[in-house]
Amino acid sequence: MTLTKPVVSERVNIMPVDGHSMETRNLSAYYGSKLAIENVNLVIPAKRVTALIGPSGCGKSTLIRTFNRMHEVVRGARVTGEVLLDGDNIYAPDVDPVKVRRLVGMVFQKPNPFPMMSVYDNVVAGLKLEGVRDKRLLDETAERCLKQAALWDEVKDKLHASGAALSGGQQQRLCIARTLAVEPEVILMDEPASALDPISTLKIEDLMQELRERYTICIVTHNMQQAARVSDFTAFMLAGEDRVGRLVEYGPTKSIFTNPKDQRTEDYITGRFG
Amino acid sequence: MAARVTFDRQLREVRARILELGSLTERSVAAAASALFQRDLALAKAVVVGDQEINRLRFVIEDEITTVMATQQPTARDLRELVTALSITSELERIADHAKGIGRLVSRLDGLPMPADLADLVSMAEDVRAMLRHSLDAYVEQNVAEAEAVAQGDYEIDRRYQTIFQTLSEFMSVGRPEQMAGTYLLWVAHNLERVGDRATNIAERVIFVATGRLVELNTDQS
Repeated sequence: MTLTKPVVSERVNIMPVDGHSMETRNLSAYYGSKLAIENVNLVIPAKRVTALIGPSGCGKSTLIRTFNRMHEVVRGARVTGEVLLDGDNIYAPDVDPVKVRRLVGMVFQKPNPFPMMSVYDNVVAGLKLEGVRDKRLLDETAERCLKQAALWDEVKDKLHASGAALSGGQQQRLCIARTLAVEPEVILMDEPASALDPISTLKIEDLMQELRERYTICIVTHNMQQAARVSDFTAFMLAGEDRVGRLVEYGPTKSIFTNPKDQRTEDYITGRFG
Repeated sequence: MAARVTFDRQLREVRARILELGSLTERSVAAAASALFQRDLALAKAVVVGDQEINRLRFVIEDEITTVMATQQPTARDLRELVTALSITSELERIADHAKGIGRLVSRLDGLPMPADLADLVSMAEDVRAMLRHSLDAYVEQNVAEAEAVAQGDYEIDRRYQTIFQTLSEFMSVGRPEQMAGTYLLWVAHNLERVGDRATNIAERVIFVATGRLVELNTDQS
């Protein structure tokens, strides 16, 4: 499913992979009159994991929230420039933000399963909201998504227990399953493991590697080692003294972590920043 | 810039240890050459025995580097420096083995009729030792130009090795009294030539730390 026709931008030639890519063009984001990020030009290649890193306040969460029009949910928030999904501007006047959020799913820092719902209902909530009533389709979707989220084996005997009864790591994978159920093209993750213990964190990281076979993934993380472990591409953002976030350096993760080109990137990833 | 106090101290310690290893190795190469040219059997034996200390220090350094990597998760230049420290440690340890090899040959040469003119070998040993010192200087100063100069020096060492090879081959004909010594001296020359190669490897690593580029400096295929 695409907004209009699938077009791979000419500039998305970092990796010649079929799938859905995103791109920002001269993207700036505001909270009221306050400029938060300025003039970001970035390609999120298809079926790869792209990590956004940078110190607190650099605008990485703001940036990722512009990718599915979550940014404008904040009162007075707006963007200028473009965010393209397969070449189509998701901020074009005729685009429905709800549809964008279905194509570009998001997983948040704190696992947020619907507390009053069972594991099963959590996963299929999005489909039910769309009016799907076919029990077999719902069952199949629940099983498929829980398997894709590497949670099935742990919950298959308690599908109708409360989602809130699961451990934190399981809850986060449940939220990922819920995101997968509406068949998104891109999955955004904003610090998906920062509230989890190390073992759960590694499970989420392994899961990302599985999911990148099918989905385009963009992750915000404070944990640089996590960015190094899971991502194919890394974007480093930094706010200047004017407290406006800008993209400093973007490239293959291997290059960023072994031989960054910008001294500010070097200072940040070697822990000698600020 | 905020410093990572502990990590920076650990990096300085690793550098200091490598310099200690480099200094021991350089002395070992010099002592092996002196023992050879002055027929000093005691000094040759000291080189052979002293290699144990170099081997021990190598393990100490490798252990330190492994610990720093495991605990500090180095990236970028720090990562390049530590990876490089590992390979330079290994090169130095092998250079010391070449010195030990020369030390052992000194006792084999004892009492054998020698070729009269060893001037080429003497100067080759001197040049190789200078190369090693320059490669360590380049490492300390992170000096890319000096590292590149080391590689240039290696071309000269290789040419000199060929000359010595030709000269010593003449002593190999059957019946010549210097036949045995000629063979051993050829091994000496080969050990020196390898020291030159390894000094070049160290220089390559210096360039890697400074620039992130892995380069083959001595590309002479002849």
